[in-house]
Amino acid sequence: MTQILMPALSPTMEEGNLTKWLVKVGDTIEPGQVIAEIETDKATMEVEAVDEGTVTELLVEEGAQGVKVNTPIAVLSGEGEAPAPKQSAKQPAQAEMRQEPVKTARAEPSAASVAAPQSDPEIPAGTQMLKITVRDALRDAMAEEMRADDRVFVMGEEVAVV
Amino acid sequence: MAKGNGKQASAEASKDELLQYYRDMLLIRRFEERAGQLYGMGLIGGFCHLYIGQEAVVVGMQAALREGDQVITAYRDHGHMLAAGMTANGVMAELTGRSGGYSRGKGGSMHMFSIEKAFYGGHGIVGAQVSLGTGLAFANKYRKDGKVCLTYFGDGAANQGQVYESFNLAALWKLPVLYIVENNQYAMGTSIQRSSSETHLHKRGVSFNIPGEEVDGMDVVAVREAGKRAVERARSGEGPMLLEMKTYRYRGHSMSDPAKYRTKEEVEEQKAKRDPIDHVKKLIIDAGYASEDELKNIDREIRSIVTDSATFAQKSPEPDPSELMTDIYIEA
Ligand SMILES: Cc1ncc(C[n+]2csc(CCOP(=O)(O)OP(=O)(O)O)c2C)c(N)n1
Ligand SMILES: [Mg+2]
Repeated sequence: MTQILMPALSPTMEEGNLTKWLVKVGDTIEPGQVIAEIETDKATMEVEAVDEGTVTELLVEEGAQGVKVNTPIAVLSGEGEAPAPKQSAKQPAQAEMRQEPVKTARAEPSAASVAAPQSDPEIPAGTQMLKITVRDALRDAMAEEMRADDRVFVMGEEVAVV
Repeated sequence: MAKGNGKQASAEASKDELLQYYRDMLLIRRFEERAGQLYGMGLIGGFCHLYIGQEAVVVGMQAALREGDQVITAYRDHGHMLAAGMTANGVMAELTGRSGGYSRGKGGSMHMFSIEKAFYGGHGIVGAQVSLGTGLAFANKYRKDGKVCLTYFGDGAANQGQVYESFNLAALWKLPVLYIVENNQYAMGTSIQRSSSETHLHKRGVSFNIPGEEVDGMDVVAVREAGKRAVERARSGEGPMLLEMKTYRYRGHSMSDPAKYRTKEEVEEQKAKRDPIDHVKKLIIDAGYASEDELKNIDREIRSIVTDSATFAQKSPEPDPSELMTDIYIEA
């Protein structure tokens, strides 16, 4: 059984609307097939299947709003099912791991608060400090810009202002 | 020999060769789909340009090379790396920014290298790799080591000035370089018709005395044959050629491109009529080299390599902060 997760289609996307299902329960799907359309505040994009198998459940209804990234949206079984793991020959034994929704860097920047460096005069006293990765910091900063100014959007790899 | 998709007859390729091409192209496709998925899960930071649809170009060209020949390309580079023999684990882990990646997690999608496999990157500045590849070929000539450098670029890059400065010197000095323009018909959202006064890009070398050839970049055997002729010519000291690979990218320019500049029908038609993997599959089946079931077994093997690479790429640790200032200069 493989779960299909709500994908992030841009570095700043946190949630999206599932506007359309292009498959239904019982359909067999293959990699590369477009299975759904989702909509963010910036664009409508297609979701392609990565695994092959039969759709056994659609967990999110068509038209659902504000589906958080990485939420399971469908369940797949069959073909793609654990292909008799003969991988050990090729690679150093990796613990088997189907794609469970891994806890990603996207998860809340854990409560790992760190003490504020006292010496920086630009930081107001009492500011709560969090330790996050550079990647998350960039993503959050971009997202904040985009929320603050709707002329800011991400296109391909450039952050542009029209 | 069987023909595919009503295309012109492919040159001959043996059973083993065709099966190898099938495997290599499928690895790239499955790898890219998985990379797209990891991107969707927020595991890949920064840029991620997928190569889906163009697999026959790198696999065919690689088959025309000798060990030690170099490859350099732009940012749409995962396929080039896998074709050059770099491991799926190492590439995927670089995509997720982990220390098990080819640049120890500090380069990402566009910046990976392998001296061992003679892969010189991964370059984000459109067209810049053309000058660098020409420089590599200059070094080959200077050292008389008999190596040829494959320099790939896109149809968009074909309008950059430094490409032509490179052409001039490469032809003048008869450098062992091969220019391969992957004409996938779009540069981000701009179609070649909108950007180029001469859209037959293989003609772009004419004023430098660089012969050009148009190649069906969706036919791996046609690519290999054109590649062999051109590599042979470059190696024997006759200078560069310009191969224009007519190809198509199925996905958007990068992950966040909704691709509004082309119709769904156009993409669907390319997938249905020109798919490079379907083409080889048909050659194999028609010639009786393998059954559908045997090909399914290959599919499974590939899938497990790719699944393992995704696992590796999520388990490999992020680079230690102490690595921040390492790997910047190389000891001479
Ligand atoms: C010098 C430079 N100008 C502009 C860009 C922005 N940019 C990134 S990719 C791209 C399009 C290049 O298209 P093409 O050469 O056809 O390659 P493809 O993406 O189709 O593989 C542009 C304009 C850049 N990276 N570098
Ligand atoms: Mg292009």
